[in-house]
Amino acid sequence: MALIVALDTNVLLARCLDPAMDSKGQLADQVFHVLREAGIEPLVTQSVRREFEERLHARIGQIADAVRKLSRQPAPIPSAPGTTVLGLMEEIFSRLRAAAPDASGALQLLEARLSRALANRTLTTDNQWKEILSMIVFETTVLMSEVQRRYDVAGIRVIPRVGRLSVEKYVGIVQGRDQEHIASIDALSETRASPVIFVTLESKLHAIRDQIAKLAPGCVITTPTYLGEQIRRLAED
Amino acid sequence: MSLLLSGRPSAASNEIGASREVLDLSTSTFASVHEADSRAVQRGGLRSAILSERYRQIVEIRLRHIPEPLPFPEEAIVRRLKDNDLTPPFREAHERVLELEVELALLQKSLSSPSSPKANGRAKQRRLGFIWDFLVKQAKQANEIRLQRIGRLNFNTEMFVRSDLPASYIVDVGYTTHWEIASLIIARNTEVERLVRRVTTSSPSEIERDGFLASKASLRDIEAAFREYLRNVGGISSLSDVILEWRDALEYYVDLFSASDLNAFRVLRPISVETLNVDAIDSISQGLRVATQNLRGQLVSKYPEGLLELSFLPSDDPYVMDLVRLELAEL
Repeated sequence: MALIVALDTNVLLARCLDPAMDSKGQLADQVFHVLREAGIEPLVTQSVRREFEERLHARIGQIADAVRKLSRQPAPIPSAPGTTVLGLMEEIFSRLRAAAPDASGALQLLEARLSRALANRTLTTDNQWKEILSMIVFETTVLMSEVQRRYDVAGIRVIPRVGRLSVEKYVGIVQGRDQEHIASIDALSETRASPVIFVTLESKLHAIRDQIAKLAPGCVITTPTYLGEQIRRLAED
Repeated sequence: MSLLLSGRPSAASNEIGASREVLDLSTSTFASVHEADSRAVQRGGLRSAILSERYRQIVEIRLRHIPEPLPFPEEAIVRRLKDNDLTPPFREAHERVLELEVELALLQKSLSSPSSPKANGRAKQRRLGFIWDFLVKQAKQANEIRLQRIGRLNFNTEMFVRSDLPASYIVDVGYTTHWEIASLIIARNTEVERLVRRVTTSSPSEIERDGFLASKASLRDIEAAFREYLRNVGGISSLSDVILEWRDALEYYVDLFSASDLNAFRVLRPISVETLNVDAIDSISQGLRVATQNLRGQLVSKYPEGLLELSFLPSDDPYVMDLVRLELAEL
């Protein structure tokens, strides 16, 4: 029976980074290289696929919402002597952060994008400011499509869900949405009566691989570094 | 002159004018004066039919996706939409698109009549001429569609910023618009490339009308290639049409149900979510997401190379890098 290798959400995300510019992007690239060499199709569980899309959707929404909040603040146009656009922006962002601590990630992204947009231009009117903000909302939705496209071109197939998921047995051991991912791998491995490799970049999940193996003997958690070795070992078994 | 669509699908509206100069049907040497008269009558009929079909689809398909009874009579909504289409600055684009649709329908009609098995070289050339004109008009139409969709997205962006709608609203309207446009570019460019190569062995980017008309392929092969083109482009268009249906439903729901009267419908204004039912927004958004997922699936399976070549943003774009790194850090 062909060996199944399923990828964690973090591997999918890292796959969206240019491997020449990012170390995690390189690790994800390595995963796809190893799978190609071994003739194994990259797969994800439905839960991973869902997490990828939902996280992306939520984050893009947070950024759009942050732009909207920003548009309701006075434009950072220097009027008094000694004030600068960046100085005024810092004050605005500080207020926004205080008002919405949950949106700190989105605000960080927006702040970086705005700084780039303002780097080579002079801001003198409210209209210019509004145009920049509208352009950023537009571009943020483009950003979502681009990340989706990078996922789509990676050629990853979604494994149809099999059996009933026993998420409960991982409570207290596995954190958050990883519970559903591991339960899906467990169910798949049981149905096939064969081990399934789950590749992750998350060191916390890798650290509890032995605990997971006790609950789900067919679930082999590994990282990109050891993926080739695990494939060889399981192929020999 | 180009048969291909160029530029990133997400290009801002002032960068859209991507199609190079295209041929006009009026240069056709085939039409006699009599044919021209009958064509004028035909054009009038086609215009009415296309318009009726357009508004019928809005009422019978798009508005039907709204899970609540409409707050205004359907006829009044259609009347308002028609008025809006005929009001500057929309009128000009509306007329341009309508004219293109009429011309495409006329060309398709000419192309749908079967050719005689004994057709001579002149008949083949005439057929090739129709196909060329059809492809050119379609490229123009695709660019108009792209402009119109981006205009609608800009309208929604402005409206979102003034309103308190859930953020998911602009996310769904935005990314589905980009995918719809991308599908138009990917499918059309790939199929035009296949068709022209099959007919002439040249690439559409390196051939002009005369070269196309000088094709050595048999009329039978040319017609088979053109039918395949229509079938494949039509397959993707029908999926992207479903996206448009749901997105229009979402946009119309938010706009119609928050309007105090129909004069406010399609007018840029702040919209309060309190006037709306969030469950209805979620339900329509769900349909929109499923439709987009289906389209993306088809693009992956039918046009993997086109999808690889087309990028919404460059591979080293700092905004993409920042976003992905943040997600990775927070996972």
